[in-house]
Amino acid sequence: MAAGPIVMTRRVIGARELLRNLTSREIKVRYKRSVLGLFWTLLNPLLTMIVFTVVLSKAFRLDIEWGSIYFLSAYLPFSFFQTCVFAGTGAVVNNASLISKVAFPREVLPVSAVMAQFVHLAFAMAVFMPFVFLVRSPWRASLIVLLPALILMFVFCVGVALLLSALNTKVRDIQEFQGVAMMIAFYMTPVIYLKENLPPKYQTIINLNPLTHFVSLFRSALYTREFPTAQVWGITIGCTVFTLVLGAYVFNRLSTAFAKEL
Amino acid sequence: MAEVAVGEVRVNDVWESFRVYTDRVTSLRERLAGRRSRSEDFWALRGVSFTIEPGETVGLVGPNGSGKSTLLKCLAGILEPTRGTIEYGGRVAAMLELGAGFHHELTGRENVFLNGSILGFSRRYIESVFDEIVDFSELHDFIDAPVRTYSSGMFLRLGFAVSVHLQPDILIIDEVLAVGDAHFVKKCFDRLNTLKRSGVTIALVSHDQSMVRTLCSKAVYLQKGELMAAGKAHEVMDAYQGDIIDAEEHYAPVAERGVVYGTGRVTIDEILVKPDSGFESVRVGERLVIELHSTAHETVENPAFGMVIRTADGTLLYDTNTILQRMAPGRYEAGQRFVVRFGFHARLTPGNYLVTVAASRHDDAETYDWHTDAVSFDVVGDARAVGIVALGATIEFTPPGEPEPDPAPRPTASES
Repeated sequence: MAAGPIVMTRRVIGARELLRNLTSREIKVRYKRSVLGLFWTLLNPLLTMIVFTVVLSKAFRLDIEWGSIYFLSAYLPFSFFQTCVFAGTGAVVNNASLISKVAFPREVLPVSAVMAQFVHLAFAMAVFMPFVFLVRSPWRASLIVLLPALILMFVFCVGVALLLSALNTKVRDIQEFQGVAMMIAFYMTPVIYLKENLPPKYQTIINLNPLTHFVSLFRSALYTREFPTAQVWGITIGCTVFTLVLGAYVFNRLSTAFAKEL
Repeated sequence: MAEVAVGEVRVNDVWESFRVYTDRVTSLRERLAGRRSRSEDFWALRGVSFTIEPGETVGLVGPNGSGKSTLLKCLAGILEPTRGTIEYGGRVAAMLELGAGFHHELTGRENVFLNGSILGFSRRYIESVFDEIVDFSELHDFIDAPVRTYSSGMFLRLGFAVSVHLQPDILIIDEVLAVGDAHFVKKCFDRLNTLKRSGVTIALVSHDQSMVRTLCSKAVYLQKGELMAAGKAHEVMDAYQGDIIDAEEHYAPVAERGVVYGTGRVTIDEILVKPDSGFESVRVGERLVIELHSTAHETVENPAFGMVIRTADGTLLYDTNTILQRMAPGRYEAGQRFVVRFGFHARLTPGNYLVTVAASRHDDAETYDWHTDAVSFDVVGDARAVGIVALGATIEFTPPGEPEPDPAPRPTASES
């Protein structure tokens, strides 16, 4: 079972041209007829940040120090995860015509969906970073955590996309359910509130959500400027490996039947 | 077993089953409620074995539902055999649908690279053949326009150009030559011959028997998923056509078919169906000519000639004659031979059509010669419609909808 991801990685690397082309297709097509184009990638988190900052600080009078950084450092990785779930779920079924007409490594579809979202995340990060430096410099040794955080988040999302894209060919409920599921996930992740402000029993629930810990990696680098605890490392690395192995296993099991099922 | 040579394909006892759902469960609620999908296995291929030598061109033939397309999908690697193995040497490219994987919002150029990489070719390689692809498709002025602005002909031309210029070792083609105008069909045919000469192994499915005979060195004949014959194209095609004649007296000469009667003052001696492409079957929308080689046995004034086209089940589709067309063909002397040509476009969906012809006196008061269902012709290709006539409807939306990220429709539970 552990051989799954390795074989799959080799196949995906073998098809890197295709991966690159499919990824750029996703990005190009998304903004093909919009005036602002790729600029939306930057505008969206910015506008969301303004909305949340205003709502949280003015309406709910939530007082978080450096609130905008607190919010964005978690919101960007969270929305990356969310778009990966949406794009990943449809990655196979939306390419039914391709799958039934051409032979190519099928795992390239969910992986390229995640890569396209990762490019968007990278753009958003690129704009966000100067802002962080202006407001409150994260220039500490802990900034290096950003790199493993991005890698873990990416691999975790690849695992999730492999799993969901394959399962969705069998049970289409996944694409119906994901909207609600992501809303629950959003409120179960400390993006717009401080975990410490919650009653202890809720904190326990929030801690069961892997995203809480992924988000805290990003916060360590950009907001708290302290290295994450061993517990956070353990949980995020464990979840990443587990999800990737599971996703690869399920995808391998189901992918031979894609051409027949779709 | 010996090493597989480049361009060689070995099909070893391949079985392929499909699950045919009589009652399918695709939602979680039903699954949780303990409902199971009811299904049965349908074997589309039953122990098929044959070998294709490097450089051979092989035609897969057989009636509808014989498993040709399933076999082709297995050869292309899209389906995995349920049992048995397929071994290849070299790189396989499959052309099961022209322009599969083209994205409508991307330009022709972008799609060439995308399609090429889907077929497994590197960017550098595609760059090296890019100009040839553009030349072949004759899309110089449009290559940087989004594919959604292309006509269907342009779309197909580009799709074909990409597939045949990415020289694979093994090329797999499904009935794709049955599209486009006569000029382009000829061009595709020439290109396939070039590939053939350069040693590419080609496996194709075609309903056009004369094309299989001219293009292929070998043929594989399937029926109900079983291999009936595999070997030299001519021998296999003779066996296949023999079976067809046994089954439906398809290719019987004029004298043996249907009802023939008449006074014989004028006789119709030979009836030929001639599609413009020169092949045996007619592509959807293609022009064809039905020639009646006739003899006047007595001197006749303005003989009337007519043609009736029916579907295989006898539905009248079209009936015309020189009287309806207000023609006066003139005077033919006793013993004179002449040819009457009925030319029309086969705006018909794929299928088999029967032609009845007749000659009569100028006022239709006397029938000289009548041949019911004298000849038949096959229409092949894709009419993009079901029914009988291919009206070629265009479809447009006003105002146009927002473009989806991918043109594939959202699948529903009823699809399988």
